[in-house]
Amino acid sequence: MENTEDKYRRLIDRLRENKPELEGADDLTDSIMRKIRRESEKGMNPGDILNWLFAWAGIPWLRNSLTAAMFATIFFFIFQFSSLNRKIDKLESRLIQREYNYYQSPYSSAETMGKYIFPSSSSINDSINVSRKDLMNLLNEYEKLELKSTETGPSKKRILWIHRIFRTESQAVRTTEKTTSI
Amino acid sequence: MKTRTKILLLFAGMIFLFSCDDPETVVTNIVHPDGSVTRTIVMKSTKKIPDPAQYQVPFDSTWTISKDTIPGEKDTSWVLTATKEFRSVSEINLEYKSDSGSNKVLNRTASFSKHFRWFTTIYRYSEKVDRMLNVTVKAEDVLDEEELKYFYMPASMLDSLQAGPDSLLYREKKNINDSLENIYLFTGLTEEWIHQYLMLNPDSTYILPMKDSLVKLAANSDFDGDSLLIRAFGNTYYETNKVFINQALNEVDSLMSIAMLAKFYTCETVMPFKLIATNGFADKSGKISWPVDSKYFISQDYEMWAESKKSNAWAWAVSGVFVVFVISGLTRRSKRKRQS
Repeated sequence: MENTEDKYRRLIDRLRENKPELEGADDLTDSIMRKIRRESEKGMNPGDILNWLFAWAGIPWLRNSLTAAMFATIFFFIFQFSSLNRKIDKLESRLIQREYNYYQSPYSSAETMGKYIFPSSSSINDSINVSRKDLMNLLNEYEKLELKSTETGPSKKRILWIHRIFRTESQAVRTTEKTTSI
Repeated sequence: MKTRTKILLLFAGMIFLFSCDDPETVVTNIVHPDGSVTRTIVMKSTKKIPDPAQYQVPFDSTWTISKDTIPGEKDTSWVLTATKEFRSVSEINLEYKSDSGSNKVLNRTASFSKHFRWFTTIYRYSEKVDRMLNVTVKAEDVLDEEELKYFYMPASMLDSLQAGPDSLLYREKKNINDSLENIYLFTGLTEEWIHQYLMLNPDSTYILPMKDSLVKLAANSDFDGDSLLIRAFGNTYYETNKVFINQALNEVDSLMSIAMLAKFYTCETVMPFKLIATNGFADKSGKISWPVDSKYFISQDYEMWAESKKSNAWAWAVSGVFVVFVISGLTRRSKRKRQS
């Protein structure tokens, strides 16, 4: 028994003393490092990003929850917009046409004209004298408004017509005045 | 003058509430997304400038006020414009509470709310006038949808319909509507009278089934003293309960007298973002109008409301991305399943 045990120990000691020598130990280290690096590089592939991003699809409870949330979002969208459309349809029956502008609601167009021509109430008499300049300013303003507007209602056409007549007349008056002065 | 006759005359007078001496008043609220309101009051009249006690809508020296005169064909009109920025509707409500003008009898409140609804944010602005009577009779209970439209329609719009094409049709419709409005208003008054009468004489439920016939009699026949009530209840019942009947009528009379003090004006509102709903009448620019007339708030609370919406672009984007993400995940999974 002792003999066998001694032999075994001697063999072990001899094996310990004669360690195997690695050929190209540095190369081996490099190749191991390269392999590790390649493995980590493999993890950055777009395919793996997608796998990670859509990993939830493999988890049943998460998949079901997200699917339910998606349908709820679509349903809510349809519900909200159909109810809004119904409201807007109803609103159309409550649309009215108005001719006056925002802050001018209490003024009629004739009053606006009057206000422009007669800046103060003191100048009101039964017979009036209107300076040509004021009248032309007024009509020019109306023409500008007319140009801004896309609609040409009968009243606006009338104003334009009046404007043209006045302009022609005032030019004629100016020509007469010139001729007289000469 | 007998009380009942007085009530009827008062009632008839309601139709002509807008007296010639009252200035034409338009109050315009420009509502901002943060709940602040720019309020402009424009008063126009050919008569003398009224005292603050005659103002239909309250304003004071803290407002920016401008006065102007406009020469007209017959008379010169004056126009008074008052503007003020209110940080919130509670400031408007404070002004209403301290109102000492012609409409101080009215209990008016303004409210603003903003509700986040993910894809949109809903803005709501309203002004409410509380009813004058104790009982509630809603116009919807008496008038149908078409009749309600005419009932609440601003006078200017009714006039233009009656002056335009199909004028005969609209005039006829207006006549029908006027009689229906009378029935509605008489229903409110009758309900109030019954309410008052039952408070004085609680056991007298005998009159309850006669309500409808009383309304019809009051609305359609010439009212002469006690004959209407005798026709409705019978001579014996009337003579037995004459004291209670007259006392209840006096109560209705005093409530109606208060209601008669209210003066007509027009309320306008401009909402932020896109207008989606209102019970008023909107023009193309989105400005909404309501006539503020006693007939609307005699027996029901009169709420003038408007709603607008703002689309939340970021919520649309988030929802879109989320839906695409989930669909992609599910598609990818089903493809993989098929491959394996």
